[in-house]
Amino acid sequence: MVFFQILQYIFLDNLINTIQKLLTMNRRILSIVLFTLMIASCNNQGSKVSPAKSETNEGPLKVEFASLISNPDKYMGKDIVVEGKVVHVCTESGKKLFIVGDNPDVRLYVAAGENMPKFPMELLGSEISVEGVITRIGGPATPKSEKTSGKNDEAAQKQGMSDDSCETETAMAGQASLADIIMLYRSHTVK
Amino acid sequence: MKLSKINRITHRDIGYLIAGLTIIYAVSGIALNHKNDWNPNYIIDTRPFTLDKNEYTLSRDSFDDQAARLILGQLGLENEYKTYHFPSGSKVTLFINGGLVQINTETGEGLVERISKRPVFYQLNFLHYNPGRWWKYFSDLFCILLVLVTITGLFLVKGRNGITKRGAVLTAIGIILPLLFLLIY
Repeated sequence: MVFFQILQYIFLDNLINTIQKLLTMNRRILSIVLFTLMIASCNNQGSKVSPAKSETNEGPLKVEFASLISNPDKYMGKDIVVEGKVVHVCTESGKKLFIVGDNPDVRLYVAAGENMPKFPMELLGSEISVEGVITRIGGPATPKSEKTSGKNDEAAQKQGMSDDSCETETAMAGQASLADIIMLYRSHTVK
Repeated sequence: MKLSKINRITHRDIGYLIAGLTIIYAVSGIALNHKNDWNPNYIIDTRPFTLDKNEYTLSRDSFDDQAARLILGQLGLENEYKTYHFPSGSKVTLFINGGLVQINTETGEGLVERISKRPVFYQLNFLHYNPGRWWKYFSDLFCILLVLVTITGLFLVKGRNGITKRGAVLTAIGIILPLLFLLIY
């Protein structure tokens, strides 16, 4: 009986020591994990950071594609969400994407800004909801100065005027509406 | 510690640190340099075909998903159908998984385009193009370290092969060549 009590004592003693060591180790691991998560959360703004800022601080305005076609000036400089079908993704720069609504002849040019990754080719043919700021090609993107988001807006617009023009851009130039309109991309979701 | 030793250690350690990134930027730089000769990001396989216009619906007014699937069925791609885009004009595009099919509705001639990421190069180019704000700062830091490695490298070797003799000549050539290009172009 005494033997078993001694054995239990030794075993429990070791077990307690092991648990204490694990707790200490886990606290260190936990600190490292928390630190990494903190850094990652700062880094995680990459996909959400927008190169363009809208005039108001409210959430994006959901807009029907047809409404955008009929009155694009109403949404100039505004952060909007519009749904459409992706009909072209630039295979060279990957920073240009075109969507259409019910009218297949009117395309909306969506440009990814400097800090945005390229559009994946898998988006071709997909129905997406895309958020961004509407602006006119070649004009000032927003009232903001160049030192803030305006600089990235210009970069996005310059991307649109780069040398790798394609059939879709040529077709867009001749369309009745939205020919000179660009959406400065913020984010998208695939429907 | 002597300055030469500090220089050597700095060159060595930073050299190891940036070896991987240097290769990434160098390889993707070569790939992107020749983007007029090839697509550095995607492999685009094309396969031409011809449809019998009488057999298939190629009119914009009556074209629908069923017509698209029928066409793709002949090409063995029916199961990969996503949607179609039929603007004004004589071209209809059928989107499939991993590509698209373009058909000239007047002639019945078409092209299947399969698009896939170019292995290794796509990933390297993705990094080269600055995928995000933090990568931009990270690559700025890399450039600073590259400058540091270059400067420390100039003063690694002493004697007649060092920066005062042979090294001076080679460094001068390395500076004169880009200046010449600037003058020419």
